[in-house]
Amino acid sequence: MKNGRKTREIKRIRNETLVALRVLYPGSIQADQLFRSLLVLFPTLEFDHFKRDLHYLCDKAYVQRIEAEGDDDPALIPWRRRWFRLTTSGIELADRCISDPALDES
Amino acid sequence: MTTTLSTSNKANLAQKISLGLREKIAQQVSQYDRVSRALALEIDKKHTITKTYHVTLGQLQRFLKRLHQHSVAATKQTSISKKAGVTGATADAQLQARRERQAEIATVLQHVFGNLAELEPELWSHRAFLMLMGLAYEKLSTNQHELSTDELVKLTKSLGDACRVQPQIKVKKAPSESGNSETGPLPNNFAEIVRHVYGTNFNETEKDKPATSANQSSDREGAGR
Repeated sequence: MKNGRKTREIKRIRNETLVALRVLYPGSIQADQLFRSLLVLFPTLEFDHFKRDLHYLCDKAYVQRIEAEGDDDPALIPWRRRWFRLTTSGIELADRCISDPALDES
Repeated sequence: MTTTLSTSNKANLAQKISLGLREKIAQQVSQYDRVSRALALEIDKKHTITKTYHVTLGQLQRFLKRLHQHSVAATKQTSISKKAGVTGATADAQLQARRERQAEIATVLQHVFGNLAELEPELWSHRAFLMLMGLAYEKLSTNQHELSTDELVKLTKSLGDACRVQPQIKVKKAPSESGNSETGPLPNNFAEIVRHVYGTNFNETEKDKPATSANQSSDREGAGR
């Protein structure tokens, strides 16, 4: 189920997410800020779709969630306010040291 | 038409941003006021943010404006189209423009915030720092320079929390320092101690107190018997 999105577009969004996180590495960014920055390139992107992509990248261990100090119960924090950053595998992929056919756009 | 800034221009612009911010912060520190407690930043001599300092909301706005001025120059060249449903060739051009912009953003962030990898690792879990960096990234990538009320509230809250932590640390240190130092300030209950030992102290308003307390103590003794 792709929610009406094309495969190429999905890959581009996931790749752009990695590129954005690479700029800030080893820092992290909130999902909402990341989403808004991606809207410049993908004006029709919806947060639910982006959340799904972020979930996917987390499950593939390219992106990890960061719990900032002072945050309340992590499970109760809404997705938009959660912090994410690249893992070591994620930075390797973003730096093109490794490749992943599932994210290869060509 | 795509032209990019030269490396030296980029470095100059980013350095101006850093220097401008440092000057503003130096001015603000000298004009220390309550509002400045709301936002915290610290920039050391290497133009990197390491701990916490005091910055007003206005300063942050100006900081973002400077970032915006830099980003405008970059955007003119990249000129990202906001059309939806673009063809493959246009999409590739957009993507290329986006990549160039990301490189510009990375340069600015690195010059303003310092070499990210070399900063203290503690900062990467510091919410206020992350928030500020995320905000700078977002504003640069979306080509904006105004903070929304919601963003200001969030920033103020988290940076205010960061400020609140610092005084607590200082308060903890203060008693031991004052207690050990011979020339330091007197303890708060010094007058009480003097009165307890000598029966009186130099405070004129309390001249009568020893007498009353002495009466009270004799009353108590009497009641005890």
